[in-house]
Amino acid sequence: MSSVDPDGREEPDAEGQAPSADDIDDPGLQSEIANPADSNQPTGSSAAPGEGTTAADDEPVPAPGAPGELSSDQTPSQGQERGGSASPAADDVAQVPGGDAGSPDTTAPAATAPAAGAPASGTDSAVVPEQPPPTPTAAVREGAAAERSRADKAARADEVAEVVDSAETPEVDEAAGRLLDTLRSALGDDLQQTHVAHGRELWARVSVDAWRRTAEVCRDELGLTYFCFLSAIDWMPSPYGRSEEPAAGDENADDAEQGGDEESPAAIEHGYAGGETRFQLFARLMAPVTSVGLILKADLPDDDLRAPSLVGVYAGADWHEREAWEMYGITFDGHPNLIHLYLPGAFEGNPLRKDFPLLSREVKPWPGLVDVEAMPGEGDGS
Amino acid sequence: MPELPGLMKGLGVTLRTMLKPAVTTQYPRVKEAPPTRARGVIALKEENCTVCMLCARQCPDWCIYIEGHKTKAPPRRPGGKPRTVQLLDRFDIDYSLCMYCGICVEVCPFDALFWSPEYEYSEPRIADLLHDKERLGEWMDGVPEPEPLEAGAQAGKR
Amino acid sequence: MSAVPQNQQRAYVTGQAADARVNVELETDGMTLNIGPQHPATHGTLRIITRLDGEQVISAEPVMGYMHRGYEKLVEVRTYPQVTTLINRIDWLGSFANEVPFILAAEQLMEIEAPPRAQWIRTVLFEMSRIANITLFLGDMGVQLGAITAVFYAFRDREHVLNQIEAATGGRFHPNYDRIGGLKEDLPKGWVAETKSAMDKVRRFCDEMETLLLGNEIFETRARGIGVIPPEIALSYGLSGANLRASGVDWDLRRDSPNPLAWSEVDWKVWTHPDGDSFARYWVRLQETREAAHIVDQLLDGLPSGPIMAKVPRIIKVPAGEAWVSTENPLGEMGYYVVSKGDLGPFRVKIRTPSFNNISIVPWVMKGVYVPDVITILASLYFILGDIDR
Repeated sequence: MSSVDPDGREEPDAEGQAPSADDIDDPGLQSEIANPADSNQPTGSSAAPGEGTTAADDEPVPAPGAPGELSSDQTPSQGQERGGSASPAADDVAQVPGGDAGSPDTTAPAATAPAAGAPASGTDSAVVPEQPPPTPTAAVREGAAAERSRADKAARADEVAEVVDSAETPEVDEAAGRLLDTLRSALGDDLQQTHVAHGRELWARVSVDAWRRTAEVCRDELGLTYFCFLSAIDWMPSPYGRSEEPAAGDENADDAEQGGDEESPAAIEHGYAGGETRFQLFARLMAPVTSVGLILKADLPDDDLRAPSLVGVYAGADWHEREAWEMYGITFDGHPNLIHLYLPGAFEGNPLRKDFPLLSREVKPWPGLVDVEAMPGEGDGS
Repeated sequence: MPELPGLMKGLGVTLRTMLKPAVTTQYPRVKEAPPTRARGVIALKEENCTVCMLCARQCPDWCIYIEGHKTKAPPRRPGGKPRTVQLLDRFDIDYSLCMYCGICVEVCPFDALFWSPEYEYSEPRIADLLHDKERLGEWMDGVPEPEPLEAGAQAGKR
Repeated sequence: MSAVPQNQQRAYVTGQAADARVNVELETDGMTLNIGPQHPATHGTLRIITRLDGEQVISAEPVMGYMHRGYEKLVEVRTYPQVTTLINRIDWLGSFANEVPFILAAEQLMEIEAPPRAQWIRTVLFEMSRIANITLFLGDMGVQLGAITAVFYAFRDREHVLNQIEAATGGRFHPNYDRIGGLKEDLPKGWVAETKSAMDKVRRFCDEMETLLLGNEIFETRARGIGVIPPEIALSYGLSGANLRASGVDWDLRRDSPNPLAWSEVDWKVWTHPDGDSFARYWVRLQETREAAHIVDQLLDGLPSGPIMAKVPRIIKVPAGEAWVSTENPLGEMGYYVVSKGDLGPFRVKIRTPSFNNISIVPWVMKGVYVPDVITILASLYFILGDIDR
């Protein structure tokens, strides 16, 4: 039986509030990130009623009479199914692309590895001149040396993520800073990128080979004994949008969301702590009582969605990995029982992938299209 | 002196409860009045609707179907030009899909949609839950006046 | 973590021994007993396939998905204001509490903070939905153990709280009252006084339950030492909420994680129990219900006046970024991982529901228990199917 210590409660609150002001998400950067997304906004609700009238008058969509009978459970016959039937032989093949993807990590930063630990205390000024042009004044965060060789590469492929991450050093919470330092020294080059928000929320991207080792470090050395969740994310923009635009093939399609960037892989923008591949694994681990937590991310090579299972480290990962397996088609090596969790056994496809259509939205036309008959005087084409 | 067994103490609670009057409302014969804000059914004030489609666009479930046409209305002032107005042909809400979120009522810029606490409109067939604008208009009678706010609320704000 | 008490140790060792024995004597043909998906103890449609050796459970494997609604996918095609109406339906007994972490995550990304009055009202309703949720558990656990009276009292007294939630929000179960930047509308006149009298009824209900069940010898015998979960196991499975506190971990996100809600403004206490058994989980929830009524009373006394809505653009676009916000919901830690790309709707939302993790410990905890205890353990872990299946 323990009671709340009023003093103990005040302190974390005060600490949590203070750094939120100098948050890393500088509005300037935010707008830069937001801009590409703005350009291909669906006209959805932002269009004024009057404007919308002309857009849809060209081809009045028949008013939908029957409510949608189809549920999202009904599957299209999609060729996306993968991973579920992965043969054991694929395991051997996996080593090759896995090592291939990891090679920049293991070879390039070898020279800078000693420096990785050194600037941890915040001696940022030493590395400022070597910053890439997009953020000349920004100080490099601690440990950037190890990341830089990678970041240079990433800067070309994925400038946005780079900008976010090399932004000004935020005031890092003491516990969070300690946690990062330990993680850095324990993982070395396998820690690819980190990100801190609001002073205490941590993101760390590790190589997928080190996924399990990272979890062990987190549990045994960092005291993050509480398993919060594990899931995955598909960074590809959805080809379907919110299904509120005129259907593809309609002449308005070009104006809506069918812009060029969707098809090209360059349109993939990653979030905090960057990324290089379409699929990322992410998990959150926490330390009980102190509530210090860490969000781990790992890139999964596109041609080999495979990761080591965490079940041996955190027993609670079991169901989360089963969910990620059926929703994204990611295979977890060493998982004791990788079977369907939610979906029926015969289900085909991976529903949470962005290219899996949400059928209930596809079979029914959007009733929000302005469907006002023109007056006899007004031409149909106007 | 041994303590009274917990079982006996528990029976004391049930005995006390037994002597109290029942709290059940005998529904079909006795009706409970829902609170003013209860989201029972969406009522439509047809003359306020301008076919702007905002409700249909914002509906998370896509359960509002609207059709309309343009027409000329007499000018507001004598001698003015006739106005173009949009008249409502169809306004259906599919209550088998509706999630009673109230977004349509909130976004309506012309005060054409209201919540009514009416709740007795169940149907044996699910297709009969698609209600048209005449039915939605009937529910306008049950729309209550907005109630006053609690002390400390900022006046003027919704 | 505190030292394991005698009776818990014994139960733990017995469980282990049973485990070992089962492994040795596996030659006998076991029996498969299917519990659910329509069993009353499963609060919906959870199905548990148990392998039995006589009266003892060798393995228990929950089967889910009967109520999977795919919210993580549905949320991706909706705008931020539309999302709250969906997530209301995750844990349908404490719906208001589901909205709060999502709204907080969106506010964090938009760098908006709701005005104090809104935060206080949010906290009040949050605690009221906790009461509405746990009240049902307090009665329902009695039913699972054979005491039918308790659940009628629970339904009776939960009404008072639900009526107040409905009077303020318009929805009994699905309030949809939170908005990004504040609340939909202010409280109606007379609400504070009525809520206070409802809280009195809640306290009386807790006393009744204490007399009815906690003091009852049958209840104690059936719940004590059953389904003991040691704290380190609980943590590795990600148990949270009262299930974790009943294992002696003094952790409550309302107190321990920074959040803009008003819990830090009032005086309350986190209840823990060292035993980690079914009885402890009941006991902790009972105390938490009382504590919640206490929190509501204090918050209503100090309700600040002022606006309930911050300045928010009419069309809500959330700047690109990622946010993780979790709160201590009635069932445990509920959190949303929101990935935004500066769009009208979220790019990806990972919904971390407490029941999912809480129930994933079932295969571990049910090894070696007797069949009637399966029901006791299920009831005491307390889950809502919508919260597991999402």
